[in-house]
Amino acid sequence: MGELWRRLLFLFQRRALNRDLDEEIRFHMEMRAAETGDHHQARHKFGNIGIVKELSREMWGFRSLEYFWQDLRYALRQMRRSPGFTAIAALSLGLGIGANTAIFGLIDHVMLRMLPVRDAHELLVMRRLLSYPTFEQIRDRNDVFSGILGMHLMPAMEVTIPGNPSGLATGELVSGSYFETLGVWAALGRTILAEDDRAPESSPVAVISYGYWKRVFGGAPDALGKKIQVRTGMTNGGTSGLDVYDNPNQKSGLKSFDGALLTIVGVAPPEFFGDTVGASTDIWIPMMMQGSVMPGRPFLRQKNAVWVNIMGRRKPGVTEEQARARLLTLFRQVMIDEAGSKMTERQRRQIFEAKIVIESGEKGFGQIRRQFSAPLQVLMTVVGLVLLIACLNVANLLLARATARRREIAVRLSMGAGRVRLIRQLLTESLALAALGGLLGLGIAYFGTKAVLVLLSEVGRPLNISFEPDLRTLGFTAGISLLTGVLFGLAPAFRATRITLADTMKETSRGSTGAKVSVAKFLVAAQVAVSMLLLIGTGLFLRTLYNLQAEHLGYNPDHLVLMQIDPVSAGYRGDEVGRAVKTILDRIAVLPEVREATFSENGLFSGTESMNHVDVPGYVPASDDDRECRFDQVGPGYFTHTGIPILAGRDISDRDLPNAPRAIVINETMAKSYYRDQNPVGRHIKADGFDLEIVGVVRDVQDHDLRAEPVRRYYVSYFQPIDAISAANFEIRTSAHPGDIGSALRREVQAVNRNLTVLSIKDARELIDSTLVQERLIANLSAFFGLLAITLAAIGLYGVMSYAVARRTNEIGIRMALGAGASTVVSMILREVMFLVSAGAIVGIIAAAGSTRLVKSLLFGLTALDPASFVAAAAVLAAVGILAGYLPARRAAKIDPMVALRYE
Amino acid sequence: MLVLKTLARLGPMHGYGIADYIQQTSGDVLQVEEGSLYPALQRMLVKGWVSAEWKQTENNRRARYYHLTAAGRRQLNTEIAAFENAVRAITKVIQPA
Repeated sequence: MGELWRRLLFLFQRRALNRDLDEEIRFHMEMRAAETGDHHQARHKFGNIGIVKELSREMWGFRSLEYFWQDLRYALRQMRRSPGFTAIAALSLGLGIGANTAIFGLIDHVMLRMLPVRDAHELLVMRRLLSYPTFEQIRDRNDVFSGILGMHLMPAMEVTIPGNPSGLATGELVSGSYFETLGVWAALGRTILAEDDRAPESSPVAVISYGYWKRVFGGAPDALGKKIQVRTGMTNGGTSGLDVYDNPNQKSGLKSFDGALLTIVGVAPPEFFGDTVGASTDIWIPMMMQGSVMPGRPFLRQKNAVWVNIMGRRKPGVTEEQARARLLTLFRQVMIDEAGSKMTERQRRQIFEAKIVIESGEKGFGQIRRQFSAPLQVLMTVVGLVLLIACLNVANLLLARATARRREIAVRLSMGAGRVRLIRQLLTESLALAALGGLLGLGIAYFGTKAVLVLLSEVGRPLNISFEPDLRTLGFTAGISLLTGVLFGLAPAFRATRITLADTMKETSRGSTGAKVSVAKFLVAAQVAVSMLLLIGTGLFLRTLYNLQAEHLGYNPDHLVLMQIDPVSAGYRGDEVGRAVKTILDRIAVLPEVREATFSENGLFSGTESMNHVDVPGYVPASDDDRECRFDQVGPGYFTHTGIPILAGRDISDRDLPNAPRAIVINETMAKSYYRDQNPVGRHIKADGFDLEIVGVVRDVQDHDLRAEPVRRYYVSYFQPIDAISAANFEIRTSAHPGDIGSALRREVQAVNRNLTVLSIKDARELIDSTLVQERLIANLSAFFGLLAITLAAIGLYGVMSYAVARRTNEIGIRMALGAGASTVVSMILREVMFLVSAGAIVGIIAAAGSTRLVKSLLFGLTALDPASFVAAAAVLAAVGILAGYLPARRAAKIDPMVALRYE
Repeated sequence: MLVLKTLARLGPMHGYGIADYIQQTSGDVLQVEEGSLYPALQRMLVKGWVSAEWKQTENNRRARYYHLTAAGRRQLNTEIAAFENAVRAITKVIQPA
């Protein structure tokens, strides 16, 4: 400790110490000279004064710091002297580092970051929705968790605050154990507590997020006690059977369809964004208020409505494995108890065979993490490769510059500078360059991340990820800057200092530079290889995007508006739903902007999917899977109006009403798998006990997922439902711009019943495109980076070939003097270029073939070894190679033999 | 060790004096370059074995006097002990049995 302190003190008193030492040595010399009377004698006896001083200073222990400071100043001077070089090098590094920082920031937020709660590692999430009664049972009967919370996310909740226009917010219904289990305390007021769990509708309160408090209430303390009205229609749970909806005709406690009137009792702490990474919750509401928040859906007491997500905190001393096993056992036990004595063998099997994933909850419920982890990994690889290319490029530049500085270095070596000292100085220069690149990179990352986030956000569902360069990101940037500095600086530094003095001082141009050029060529070939890899990836992603384009849907998504309404929360039940929807359709169809309109239960690219098993007379299924079909319940003229081609028979029509024979239209795949080549029209099918007559066959279409393989699908009339109808999606073809018709549609719906919620109005093209956000982002970014890579590689190639040509002026001159024509010279140089490019390309192809596993999951309609992408990448590289090589080759061909021979 | 011992014996002394003393007492056997004393002194300063201050010599010149600190005294004892140990061991080996 004392020594360290003294060293620090010495550091600051360096000037005084130097003066002391000088004076001391002078005193010594004078004394000795006075004694012997001979200055030379004294000097001889003392030894080399310079070295003594140097060694003494070294003892003070900050020589390295001093050297570093010297080197740094020298490096900065060098930078100022060649601003062009510095700019190019720093810019390419900045792009590489910036891209890495941006993607790292995203990965950090989405994949690495933990929930901002107490001891997040103790949390476990069960990937299964439960009914509220099941949740209660599990919560109360468990013995391995110190707390279990239940939650239900409501992404688009209508909120009305007196004095404000109503808006949408992200709401969450949470159990009384929610905040306590997470270990989150209110910043203001109170959180939702166990006492809020007592009885349905007993606790009309809400806790708002810190951000929402600031945003909507301006951070005013009197927000506590204010009242807000909330309601939502859609649920992301599942129900079976109509009995889960309450009947508005019955005299139940709930008559209001206006939603719940809640009093704000607390504000959550600023860092707590919720339990799901990427989505931030604005308002937390006790689960007991579910009934009035979601009018018409009293799920609290229903066993067949599953909508509750659960998360538990294991007790201290309980391992994750134990907790997992106990939770699984408990879940099965509760399910068996619920089934009671009526349980069939099949139910029993289902309970035990059900796949239940219980995973770490330290990162929250996070859908986003799973959704984006593969693309982010690919992007991280891509930007890593880009950085590698940037490094190679700068290494090449440094190498070229080292050649220019050979004399300087040779002189310094001959003056006695140590090689290690010189390498150190050259490394300091490259580190300074890397630091500059890093700073630039931070700036690029800041704007880059914002751009990426905008691109990643789906329409109407923005990703709530903040990018503030925090310590982790800064650390990462500093780390990779340092790494790149060493990476691209080390080799040139070693090479530059391995100079035989005599050679350099003589400055021979013949022979001695061969090795240097070959290193540069190797670096260029490496750049070409990495570019090849990136170009192949770009090709794969672009072709995937093309394969997924909306053109392959089977119907035209242009000028198609999709409107989703929620008849259930307005109180419609059974046949009333169909009548109400028909009334709305009739009003919409006569709007001047509307060309044609129809409706269906599941809708296109929104809403749910339905599936059941069918029995086809004359067809023997090999297993239950062969009986499985998707289905939808559709309005009259569904196929004509949406533009789905009818291959045989007729459309669902307005005569397919409740008392008419039940009609069904099947798709191509279903017709092929059940009837092969025979005409299915007129045949009968049984589904859920209903007898259905096939009246038409339609083309296969993509209606929910562009990536889906065609599956068996059939359509019945909305007015002859085989399953209780709970949703309505309108498909409206307009002549106007889809964005302009929204308010007119809303008006018509409200005119029928003001309690009807319009859940969404979307442009089909935009909606479908938004499902390709990820694919488009990856394709665009990899195209951008591929372009960047190949530009850098081309610059490298051009530089190296120009240098090689300049070096070989003499040789080329001789060749031409001996009769070689211009074309011979051009082809000689181009051959060399092509050799470099092909060598790099082959390595790139091998690397691409070896990394198929990484990208496989992101491709569609092609394999990771797609020949077209490989060939295209090779062709692009060859073209760029020829372009980059042609200029130096032309210059070579223009060499005048006489001038060249006199060149030296 | 020699420097520390010299300081222990002479009390505060400047570099020239130390070099002179070592040469004289060793009977000119230890003929090292005098300059090498100074890096050694700097090291001891850093280690805290000696401290230094500027004073006047007898013939009225300014010189930098070093004197032994408590830590330096301890260090001297350890070094002497270690040296004697080594000498004993070497003596044992080279003495005829």
